[in-house]
Amino acid sequence: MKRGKGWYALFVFPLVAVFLVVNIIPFIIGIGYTFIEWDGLTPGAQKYVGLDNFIRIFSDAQFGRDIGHTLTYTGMALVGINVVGLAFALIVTSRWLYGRNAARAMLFMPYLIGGLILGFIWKYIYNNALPDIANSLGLTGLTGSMLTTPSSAMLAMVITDIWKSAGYVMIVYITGLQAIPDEVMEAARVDGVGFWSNLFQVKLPLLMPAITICLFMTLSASFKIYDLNLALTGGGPSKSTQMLAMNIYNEIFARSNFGYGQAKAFLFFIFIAVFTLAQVSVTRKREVVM
Amino acid sequence: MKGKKILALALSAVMLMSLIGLAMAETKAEKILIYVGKGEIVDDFKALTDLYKQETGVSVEMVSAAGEDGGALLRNYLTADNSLTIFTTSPGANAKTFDAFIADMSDLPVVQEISKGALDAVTSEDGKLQGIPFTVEGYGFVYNKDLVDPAKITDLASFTTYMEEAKAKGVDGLMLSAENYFLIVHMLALPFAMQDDPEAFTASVVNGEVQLRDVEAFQEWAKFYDVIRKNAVADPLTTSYDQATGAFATGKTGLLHQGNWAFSMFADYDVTFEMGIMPVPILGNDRISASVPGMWVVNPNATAEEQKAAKDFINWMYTSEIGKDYLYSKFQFIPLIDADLEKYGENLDPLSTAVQKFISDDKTVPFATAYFPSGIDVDLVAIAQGFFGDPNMTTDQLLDSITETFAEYN
Repeated sequence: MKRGKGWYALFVFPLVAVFLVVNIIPFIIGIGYTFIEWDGLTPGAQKYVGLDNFIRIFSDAQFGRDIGHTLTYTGMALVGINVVGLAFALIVTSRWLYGRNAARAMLFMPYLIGGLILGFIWKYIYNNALPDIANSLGLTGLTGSMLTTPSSAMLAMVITDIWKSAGYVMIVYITGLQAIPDEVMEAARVDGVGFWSNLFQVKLPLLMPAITICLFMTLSASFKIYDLNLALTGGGPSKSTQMLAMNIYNEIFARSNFGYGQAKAFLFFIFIAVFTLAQVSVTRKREVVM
Repeated sequence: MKGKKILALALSAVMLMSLIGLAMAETKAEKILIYVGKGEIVDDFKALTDLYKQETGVSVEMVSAAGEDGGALLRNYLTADNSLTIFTTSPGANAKTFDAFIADMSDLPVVQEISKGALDAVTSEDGKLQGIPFTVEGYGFVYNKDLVDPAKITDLASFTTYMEEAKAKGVDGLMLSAENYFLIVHMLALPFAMQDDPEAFTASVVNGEVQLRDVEAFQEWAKFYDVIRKNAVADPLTTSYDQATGAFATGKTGLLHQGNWAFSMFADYDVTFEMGIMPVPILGNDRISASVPGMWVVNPNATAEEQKAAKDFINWMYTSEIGKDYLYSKFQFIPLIDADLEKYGENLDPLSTAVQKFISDDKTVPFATAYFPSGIDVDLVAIAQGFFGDPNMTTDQLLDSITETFAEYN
């Protein structure tokens, strides 16, 4: 056991080194960039501007709106993905379902499609397939594309993300459900607990560790969403579905404002950190120890 | 023992030869790296570089941005290290951004042969020849000769009549598609290009000195745009480039606002009609937009040998038979060298021929997009989405939003 620490250090070192080089060090350099004005290209053109970049953010109306979009989207996606994912988990772990494993595989499959491709597929569905179906059924009110009005475009983003991610959190919930001891379920059955009270008073409290993980994953993923945003709506119509990540990307790579974009990115980091840490500490407190 | 000696001798000979090889390589670059941002030519370009290697021994390695954001990729290559010897970019605002990475090309022999107009487009304000222009491209209304008579669409009134008649038949007179440049940017560039000095005019809009609603060409442009909105059958916001070009190729619409690059899209269809390009008749305008879409640029931060090799390669492309064959037949570039135009001109597709006709008749305006602040297409398309999404938005509101957007880049 004495040599344990040495081995531990040896095996952890590569990962720590990689993490340091590709995450920590660039992050610190990135903080430095927030104080300069630079196009990101011309050598020697960096200009120190102090906190100007941060001050500028507060008068940036579009950034403010995009925070709103991101919060709206994250709220809806968080609830949607977890409710649907949990429902999937309950269905595929129930005894009466024939072909459980096939169902699991099928529900998980969308997660394996890359965000960009998924976005383009669903763009076609919303723009062409659904209106065509509505046309042939004579539903004249539904022949427009969901992607051309702001509120429904946001909803379309959420639906697509649920379709993609629900299968993923389902896997975590299945593990959680299977970890619930049989005697607890047995006792609940003997006591004649109904479906809903079984769910809310027995299963959910025992599922809290899984819920913590799933909420954390969906929260941070939804905040940072970019690929789906780009491919499905491109931020449109009229930037009404533009998320923070897209705003920052465009600031840096389309408008060539490196320093200002980096300042936004740093604020974005703090934003995500505060939300996810708050979420983890709240849900952790609700976890019950068996 | 004897065998070993021979082996040792042979080995040392090999080593000596590789040493000599190394020493010789120092005087001449054997490898250069090129970034090609023009997605549609990359496969053929790869084949061209293989042929170049066979002929000269210099290997030209290519990187490209297939399906990625080319601008961001190019930035990464340029700032990460100086290994990129040649890259492609467009003249104007983009070239200005990359100025520190652009060498002067005026010492290339082929420059003497290229037409003056094309060279002007790639010369910076301080007289630096920024690159060797690819070709010229032109855009305007691409029309189906069976469905549209250009002599009958010469002003706003006749355009409106044409569009209304088409709508009455339940078809699109003109189809726009949702991509940034095809939905608004290319169209909007025309009234900018029609000003006496488009560059100074664009700058004054960015400065906030000019309100677009006060300029006649823009008022009329907005009316054209409004007519398109009112008579759209298919929603432009949900129509893709593929769908619009497909509808045109199958005769479902008579007009597209596109350029000669769109011809390659029709190759998949059995097109039975003749087509041409006509001007967008804003204030009776009879010119199309035509200019240099891109250029080969040499990176001055590469070593002197690499730069030499890069310039040799570009010169070879434009002077050798193989190079010309690729440029004009495979890439479908319109030749910028008069002698080549005579020789290869008949290979051109109908749309390129039409563009070439406008150029030789001196009926063109430059691409004003070259003077637009980089990144503004994202904002302009957002305005266009608002305009098409809200039938109550007036043309004045449209022009005011555009004015405000330009001013944001001040």
